[in-house]
Amino acid sequence: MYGQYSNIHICGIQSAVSSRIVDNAELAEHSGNKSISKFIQYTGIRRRHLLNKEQTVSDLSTYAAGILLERLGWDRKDIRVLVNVTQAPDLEMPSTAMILQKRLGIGTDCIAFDVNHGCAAYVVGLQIASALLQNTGGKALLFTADGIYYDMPENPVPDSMLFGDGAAVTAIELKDDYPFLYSQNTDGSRYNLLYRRKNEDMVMDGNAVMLFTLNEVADGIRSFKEHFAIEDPDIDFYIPHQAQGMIVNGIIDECKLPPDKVLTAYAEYGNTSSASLPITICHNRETIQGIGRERANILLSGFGTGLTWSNIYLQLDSEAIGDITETDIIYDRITE
Amino acid sequence: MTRNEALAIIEDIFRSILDVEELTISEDTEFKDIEGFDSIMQITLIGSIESEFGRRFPLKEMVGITKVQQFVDLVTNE
Repeated sequence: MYGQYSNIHICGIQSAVSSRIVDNAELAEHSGNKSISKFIQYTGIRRRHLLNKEQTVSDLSTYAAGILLERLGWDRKDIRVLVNVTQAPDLEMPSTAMILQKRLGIGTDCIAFDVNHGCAAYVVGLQIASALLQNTGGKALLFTADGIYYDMPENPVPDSMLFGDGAAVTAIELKDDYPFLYSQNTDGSRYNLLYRRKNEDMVMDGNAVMLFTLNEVADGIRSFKEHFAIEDPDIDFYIPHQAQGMIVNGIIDECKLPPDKVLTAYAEYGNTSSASLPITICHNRETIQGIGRERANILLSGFGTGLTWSNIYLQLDSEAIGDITETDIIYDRITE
Repeated sequence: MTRNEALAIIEDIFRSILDVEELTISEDTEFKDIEGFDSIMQITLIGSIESEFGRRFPLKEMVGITKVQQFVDLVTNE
């Protein structure tokens, strides 16, 4: 389905990762497995930031939001919508959104909840927050964050070497003359291609997921552009989900995207799932600001577990883009 | 390049990826019949084929391949 708004203004984006960096090449060398070394080479993921012991992604989210809210100078009582998209909640109940609300001192005249989504989290979350804002007015905070601490195994599992941990917060308000075009697709009949049982490792049919990317996701991008009559010159930057290099390059080929307009961050951060798109925006802040215009025209493409695939075209104030801050902070837990 | 030459290169790639020196494959070999071959191996195989043959192939075609014969077809098809 397609839809659009004309008043979605992204006021700020801020990302956070931990300072614990795992170098994939070193990990592969340590394992002595040549195949793993090649796997790392072809996926292009050089290193990843992983959570410290006891740290959760809500710590990263809180820290990032603190920076962003201070920068924006928002009155926290004006925040009407708080959406936290994650597959790694702090507790079974309530939503981590409530914990974030408390830590950040956000007023009670607000709806707050978690959404369970993976690599399409940012585009899905932006659509949810934008839709709610049309009724609530005021301001919204969208958190997209994923990652769970784990001890580094002696023999790394290649699948796990694709993933990094990270969090991002996006501040949104209604403002006329900020177009927001979107498409949304979900196919629950293939949920079992990518899933995780409680407290177990993720299960992925890598080949089927890759084919999904090169078929439905690529077709979705082409159809989205066609539906809204968007041409390459209308876009300053394409930002696809950072699954891994081979997939990003496959999408570039399938959609015939201009490679110099495609922004990436997977080499430095890996696949950060929910946080992948905003982390890529922040990682490329100078490039986006370098276009010399106040606003950049961006096409975001999120895809993953569900299966879900979704696109958004929006105009992003280049000054809204924050950085990726490293932090090892751990906030109080249940006693807070 | 003949089909036999291509097959020999592909066999070497499989041996390297799986770290099994005595591995023998034929055009009829299906990936599902190769012990230890999984989707991670497939990514490594795709990257290695492009690297060894010095060309890029359409990823969608490569990912859809399930049998050695299809790889031989692909790399010998100028």
